[in-house]
Amino acid sequence: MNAPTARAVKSGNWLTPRWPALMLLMPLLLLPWILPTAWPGLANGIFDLYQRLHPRPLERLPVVIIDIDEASLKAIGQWPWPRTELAALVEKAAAAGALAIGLDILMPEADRYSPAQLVARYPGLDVDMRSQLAALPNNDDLFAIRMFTLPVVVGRAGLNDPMAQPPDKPSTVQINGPPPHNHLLSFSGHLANVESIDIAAQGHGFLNNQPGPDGAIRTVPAVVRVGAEIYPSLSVEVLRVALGQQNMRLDSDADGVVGMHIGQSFLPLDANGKVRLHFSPSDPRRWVSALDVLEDKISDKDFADQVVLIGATGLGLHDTPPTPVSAAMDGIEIQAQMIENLLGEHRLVRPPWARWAEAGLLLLLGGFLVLAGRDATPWRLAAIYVVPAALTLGLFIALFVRDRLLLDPSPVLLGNGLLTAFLISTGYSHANRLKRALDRALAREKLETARMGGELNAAREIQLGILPDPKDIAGCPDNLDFHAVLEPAREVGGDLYDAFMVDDRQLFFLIGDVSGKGVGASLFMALSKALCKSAALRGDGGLAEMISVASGEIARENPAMLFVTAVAGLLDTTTGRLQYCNAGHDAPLLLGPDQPARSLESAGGPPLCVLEDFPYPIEEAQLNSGDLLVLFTDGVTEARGGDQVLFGADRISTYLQGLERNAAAEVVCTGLLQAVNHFTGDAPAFDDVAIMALRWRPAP
Amino acid sequence: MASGCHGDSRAGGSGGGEVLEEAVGDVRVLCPAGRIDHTSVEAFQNALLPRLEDCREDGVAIVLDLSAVEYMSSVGLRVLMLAAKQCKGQSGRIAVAALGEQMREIFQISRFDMVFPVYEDRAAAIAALTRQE
Repeated sequence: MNAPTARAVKSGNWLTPRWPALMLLMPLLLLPWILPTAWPGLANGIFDLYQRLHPRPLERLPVVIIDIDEASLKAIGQWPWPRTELAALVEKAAAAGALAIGLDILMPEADRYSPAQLVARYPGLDVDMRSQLAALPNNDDLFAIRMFTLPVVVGRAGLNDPMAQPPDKPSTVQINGPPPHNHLLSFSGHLANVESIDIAAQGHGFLNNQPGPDGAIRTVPAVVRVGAEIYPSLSVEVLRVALGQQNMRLDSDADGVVGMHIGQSFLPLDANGKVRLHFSPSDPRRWVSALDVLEDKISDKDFADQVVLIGATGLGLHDTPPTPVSAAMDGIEIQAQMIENLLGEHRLVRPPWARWAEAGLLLLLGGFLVLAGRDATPWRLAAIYVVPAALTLGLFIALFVRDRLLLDPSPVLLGNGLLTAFLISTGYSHANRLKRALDRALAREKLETARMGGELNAAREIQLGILPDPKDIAGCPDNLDFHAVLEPAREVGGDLYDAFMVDDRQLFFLIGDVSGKGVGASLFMALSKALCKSAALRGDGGLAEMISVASGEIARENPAMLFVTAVAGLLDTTTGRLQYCNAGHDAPLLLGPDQPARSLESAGGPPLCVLEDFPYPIEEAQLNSGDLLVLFTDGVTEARGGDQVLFGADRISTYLQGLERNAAAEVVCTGLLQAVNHFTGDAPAFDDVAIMALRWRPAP
Repeated sequence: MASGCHGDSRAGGSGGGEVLEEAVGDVRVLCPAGRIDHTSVEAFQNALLPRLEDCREDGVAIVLDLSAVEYMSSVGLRVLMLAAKQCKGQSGRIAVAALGEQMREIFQISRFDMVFPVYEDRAAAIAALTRQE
């Protein structure tokens, strides 16, 4: 991995999406306010779970339910009973010490077992019988008279029926504070009992309950609004009567109801005048069969310090709504639990700060998630979510068990769950993006390295591999001192040289430069060299024909439209007669033992392949003994010094002038190469450098 | 007529590859500039060759004003070769003009003065290439 890639990966980590997650956290903080409205069942489900985990322990039994059950109906007769039976039940309950007796029964119509009702029902009775019966008191009045002195509270039902009227008697509830009416469960009218019974009763309580959307009872009203007045529910009214109070005082503030004062007792209530019940499971200890009471199977003190609720559960006479702790609970037991809750020390509390606490915890854990989850793997992120989430749930359950606090973990769990999902998904995509970028970068680097290394090596191998060993030119006579060097540039160019004996006298030599770099130039150079050699070895018409043939053949094999500058020569090693041809190349230099260097000027022609069928002219020269012929490519003349100055032909001449007389061809070549390298210094060579030197002497 | 497309002050610019264009009658004068070597040759080729497409017998003639070219390596010469081949293939006419000292030497050594007609200055080139009515 190179430095830029490493930087990219590192900066990528730094950019792990934290700001987007924090931005997401902000609206999530509203969840404690939004969620209960959008999805009321969720919080209820969780609070129900609390209650199932920790139901209210039933330590005392302040309420007894006298149950008109199947056994009672079987023994006494079908419902409704004559009200005289109810009178007996009420009397026996009072005799057993009940502080108050609440009737979870509505008696809106006259008792049909009353004697007068019987007269109407049986028109065949004789006159005496009719008058005797008519003179008897009716059952409702008898019930009213018998209950008159007893602490009996009768039920009422709130109705939203246009025909129903509010009660005409004043309420036992007095308001202390701003009117809380609008916060309460409200009705326009009510269903009352038979008037005599209503008058005789010491208390009147409403029996209405309001189930939740799922039909379950979680709260029970302590007060309801009927018309313009506020009235107590049966449970509260029973307590008032039990405590011997004439009235109750309902405290309220701007937010609604605060609580109820009954004598010395204060019962805190929710703002809507209700109590969120902490349920205990249904318990048989609360229940007594009406039949047992009527048959005096209870003793005098059995109901001492208890309140009694009388209701009917037999024969499907009653409602059994679900509650947090059970799928069905008798309505009268819910009333009993209401009274137990009112009298209990602990109350389920949804404190006003609950939502702020939930939002705060959401912020705390969300922030922790975002910060601690930085660079985390999905599993670790999930752990960072799950562990605090479990702790939150545990804390909230503990607070419920200890203080009956209702704190809703769902905004915290859901909000941070969303956040975790967001972090995991963006983390995944981010990591994937990074990984893909990294993979691409690595692949590119590998490819580049392979390409460069492979190509450069291939080009270099082609170039150097095909050059002849200058010290081992087959058949080269001793009177010719020949040498050549080629130094490839870092990016290989296309210089070439060649030398071979075409027969036992003539040496063919060639120095050239392909326009271009890389494998293509190297291949073209190899091709050119091979074609030249082939043309030289085939030809017998001299250099002119060799060049003409080679040029044509090279041009035909030139799809990349490259060209080759070259100087080719044919030296008769016996006579020193030199033929040469220049195709767009630097002119060779010739210097005698005691003469300055001079260019071997020629008309020449453009580089091979530039102009097709160009008739390259051949020049001739006669070498004298000890003459030195030096050929070179533009890698020498155009080598750049530190200040961009070119080495130039003049420096070559100067170098050659400074040579020892009769210096060997190898010394000439390597010395000139050193001079060039010294001139360029540390700067990398842009182009190949090729140098060839021949010193001829006549054969001895 | 101005002596050069790039003006004297910019003649020594180091960049290479850009090619200015100027039309004089049916002669199109193209002016490359700077050093044309392996770093700038691709831009030079891409700038030059598309402008030769209408260099035809009945189209425009091309004058390459090389006065602003400081140096040209063999890869640059290769592009000139491509230009010459293209124009020749289209039966168009192309010439070079106003070689500086260095370019003159390069043309002499490489014998590219045998590939292109070379004129002393652009006026001479334009005059020579303007079609006689």
